[in-house]
Amino acid sequence: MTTPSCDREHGLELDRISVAHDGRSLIRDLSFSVEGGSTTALLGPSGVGKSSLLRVIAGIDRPTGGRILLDGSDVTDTPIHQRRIGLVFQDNQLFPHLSVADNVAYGLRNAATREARRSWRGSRTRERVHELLSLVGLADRENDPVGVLSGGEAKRVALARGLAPTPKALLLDEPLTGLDRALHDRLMEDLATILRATGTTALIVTHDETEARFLASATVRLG
Amino acid sequence: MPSSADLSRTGRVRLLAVPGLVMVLALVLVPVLALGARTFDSASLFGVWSRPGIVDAIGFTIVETILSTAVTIALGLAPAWALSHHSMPGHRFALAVTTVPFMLPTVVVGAAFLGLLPGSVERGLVAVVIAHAYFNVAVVIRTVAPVWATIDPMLVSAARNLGASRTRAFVSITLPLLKPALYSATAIVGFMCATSYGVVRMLGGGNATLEVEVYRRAILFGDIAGASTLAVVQLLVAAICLLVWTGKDRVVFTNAGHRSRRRDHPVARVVAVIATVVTVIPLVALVLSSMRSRGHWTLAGWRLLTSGSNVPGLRLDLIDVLSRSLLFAVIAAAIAVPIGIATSTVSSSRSTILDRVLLLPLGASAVAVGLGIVITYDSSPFDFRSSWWLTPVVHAVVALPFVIRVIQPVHSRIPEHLRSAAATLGASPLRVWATIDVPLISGAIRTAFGLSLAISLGEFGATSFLTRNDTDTLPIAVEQLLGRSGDLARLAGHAVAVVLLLATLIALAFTTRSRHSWSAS
Amino acid sequence: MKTRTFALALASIAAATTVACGSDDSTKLDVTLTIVAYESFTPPEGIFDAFTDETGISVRIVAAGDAGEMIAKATLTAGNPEGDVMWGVDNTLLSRALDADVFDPYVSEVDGLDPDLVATASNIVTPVDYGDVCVNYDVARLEELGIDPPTSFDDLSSPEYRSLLVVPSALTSSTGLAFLLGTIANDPDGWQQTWSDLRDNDVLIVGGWYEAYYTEFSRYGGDRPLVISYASSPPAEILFADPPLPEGSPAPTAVVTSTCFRQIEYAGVLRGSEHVEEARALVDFLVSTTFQESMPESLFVFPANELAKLPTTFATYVQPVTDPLVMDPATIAASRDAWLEEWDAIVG
Repeated sequence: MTTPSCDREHGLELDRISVAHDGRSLIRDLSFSVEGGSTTALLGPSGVGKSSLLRVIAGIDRPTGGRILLDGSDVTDTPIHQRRIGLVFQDNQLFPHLSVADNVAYGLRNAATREARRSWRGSRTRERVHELLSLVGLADRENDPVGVLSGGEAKRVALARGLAPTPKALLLDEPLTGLDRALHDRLMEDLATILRATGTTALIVTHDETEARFLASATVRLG
Repeated sequence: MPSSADLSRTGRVRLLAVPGLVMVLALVLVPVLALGARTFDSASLFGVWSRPGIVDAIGFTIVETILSTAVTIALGLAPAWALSHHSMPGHRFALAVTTVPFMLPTVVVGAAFLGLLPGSVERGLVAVVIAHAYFNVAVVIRTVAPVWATIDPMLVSAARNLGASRTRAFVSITLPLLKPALYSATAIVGFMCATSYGVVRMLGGGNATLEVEVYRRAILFGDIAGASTLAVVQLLVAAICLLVWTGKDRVVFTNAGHRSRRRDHPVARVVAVIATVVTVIPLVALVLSSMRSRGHWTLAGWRLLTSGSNVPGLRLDLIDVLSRSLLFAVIAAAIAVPIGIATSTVSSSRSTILDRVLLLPLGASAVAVGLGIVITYDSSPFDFRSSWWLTPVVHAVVALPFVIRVIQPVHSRIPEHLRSAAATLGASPLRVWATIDVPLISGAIRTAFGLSLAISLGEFGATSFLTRNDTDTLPIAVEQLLGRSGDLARLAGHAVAVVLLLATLIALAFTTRSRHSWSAS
Repeated sequence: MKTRTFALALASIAAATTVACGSDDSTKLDVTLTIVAYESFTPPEGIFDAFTDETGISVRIVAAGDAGEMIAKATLTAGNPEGDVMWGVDNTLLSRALDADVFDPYVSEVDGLDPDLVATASNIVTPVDYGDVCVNYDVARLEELGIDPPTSFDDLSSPEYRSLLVVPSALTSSTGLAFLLGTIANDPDGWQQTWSDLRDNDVLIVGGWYEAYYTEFSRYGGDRPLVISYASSPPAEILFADPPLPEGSPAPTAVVTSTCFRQIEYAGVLRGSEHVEEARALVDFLVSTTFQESMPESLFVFPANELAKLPTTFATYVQPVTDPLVMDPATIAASRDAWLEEWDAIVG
């Protein structure tokens, strides 16, 4: 990589990124960065392209221009599965054929396979899954099929699953939308605690100012 | 917007289509065209059309296909509705039984059917149409019922609430929603009826379809040039039909009612019982005929199969034939299913040319394919024509269209987001496929495996032309025994047919028992 | 077709190699001959052991389809055959094989071969067996109806036998074709009349022999006591009867011998065989008394070798057909298509 190293040692940086969807330009020349270990909120009305931007950063879609830098390296052309940027989908996208524990373990097993690391195999995987599920308060639900989870529980599993392979950055797409008031508030506090505890570099899409202020140390506005 | 997920699909993933294409090209397209090329002469190219019988055959094929397809679809709708709105204990049994005729060789059920057909039904168009409906109703049930089961009854209620009559609600709401499934059923039934051979020969009263005419010209008249001209034309027409096909044939031949079935409907129960009984009667007649001779009950036919007979001229080692048939069926399924999975992986998102090419075996003349294989693979290093493995491989090609039709619709329902989620968690494309796609289509894979087994067990078309050294399969044994005079020959022939029936039922049990472990909500 | 050209090129290289090694074959060690036959060729197990013991040549049988399908394939593979010897081409099909130059001429000179049969073989192949296609009748049913068995083609058109006969179609069945040829041999100038009379007398035409015999024939639950089948069907009705018939009882069916059309089957050496000498020895074995005496009970045909003894069941139950209708292969070849078209127009 010939990319010049950027100002910060760690973190996620967008350099003049442009995003289009269905041929329509949504975002043009957007630049901002998320400091390593911190949380940034991405605010804006619906339809402005927040989710599309997350898909581009995660590597699911390609930007129409610009660069994405992660820990100083250009990852714009890195394949999605090697990018190590986690994404918690708005609708969770839990794997319907796997149990709660297997959903969380999924990324760990991929890391083990890809890098031929034996360390995540067997009991180490199980320990880590247990640890993560304890973190999100679902330690007793390991063997449940995901179909029986409530909305809040599913969200927590998705979060644990996203955190499991220790991504260099975690993207969260409206993680608290669609939950009732009490659950929303509780999960928001938990989320803040977890992100801080794990020291994860995070970018959270939201349209709620309170949420943004509570969770993030910085905000970026779109639209 | 180009997405990297798409990019990974368009590259090397496309190579997954190669095995299926190679098989269809090598064992259907090339043999038929090679036969045409080998025997080509301009005299037969034009001359064959002026033969008496050809125009009749074309006319009969068109009329018979349209009528048979229309009647089959119409008759199949009631049981399809019943089996999609219905969950009595015999549901699986009803589903398996109504599928059996489609899988059994014509000679077996055709004979039982012939015996039951009232003498007043003239052997000809009417008899052919009735038989085609009997054989192919399974396609309608298996294709339409699963879609019907997913139509929310509240939609119909809403229409009724807005003042629509029952009929109008059906025509304006249910029917349009069933359209893709109906298109699909029409395509398969149409192909089956247009290329029908055994039924037309047995019940056609001297009428011929183009397929029968190919057989007649090649085998009885020895006019192979004329026959291959007709076969090539038939293949071209089939190819054109596939190319102009609307492409709305997505959901097909899957399990009825793998979604939640709604409340038991008394009328549905009656319809399901009637459909089962009507299907079962010829099958029961077949079982009984293997044990009844001259007004007496007898197990002589069965004893002949199990004891290794010393009756001169009636040699048959059932264990040998049965185990070979099963082995062939397993090999055929083991070839067809992975190729079907690979193909579905490539073309899961849209109907492509690929899907259509792989349907071609349904429209090819079995006679021409059989003869074509013999002349195409006749010289080293491609001298396969009397290799034992050619039989199961050809069975696999015959099963392939059905395997793809089973797996692909389920595969295409997997939300793309699940794959993205897996990829963001570090899964490579291959791992996404192995850990997400395959588990989610495991039910369909099982169904496809069962269908392949059944198709291989009953296949009696192209492979009957392949020269074999001690490689009789069950249908060939049936044909051979039923070609001789005498009670024992008839009893034993029917007994082997019953064995075939049972083996097919067991294979189909795979198909019916499987449940998809998830539902796309 | 590029692939084929490539395959052919390779094949010729392979063939050249084989020829080079061919001289070893003359020692008659480790040669395996392949007999190409129709599906129902089921000689008794171990019958070729005597041949193998004597010559060191092993024999393997490959089979597929009926005689018509076998010939269709043989004409397409002429010169590059699937085996060394073909068993079972008959006089209705022989001309097709001859036109396509399927055989390497060889007529066996084994003792006892029926010269009349040899005379039909065009000096290319060797007759191995014969059988007759005739009107069969259900003895008991005709007795019930109080009708005497018919004795001629003309009888079949008389009011007494109205709606009693079922026939496989000549257009879809080789048995049906043989019966049509019988009517033509019986009355070369007036057979069309025979058939329009049959049609007016409500003859039932079905697709194949199986439908005629096992669904329409009264012995098997149908309502037609007259059916087109083989002269060997009556003995099969005894041998394969279930429940078994009491010792010495007459056959439940019989044939109208004056309607019998003779089908002669031949064996020949396939052109392109790499073991012509051995193949000829095998043809000799096929017409030897050892092999010929096994055929009546395994294949339900009569041996072409007059020295072969008939098994007692066969000798007892088969009605001798002293004056069968015959037609030589060349005549059949010349007019078959025209006859079929005419026939189709009459009965269709």
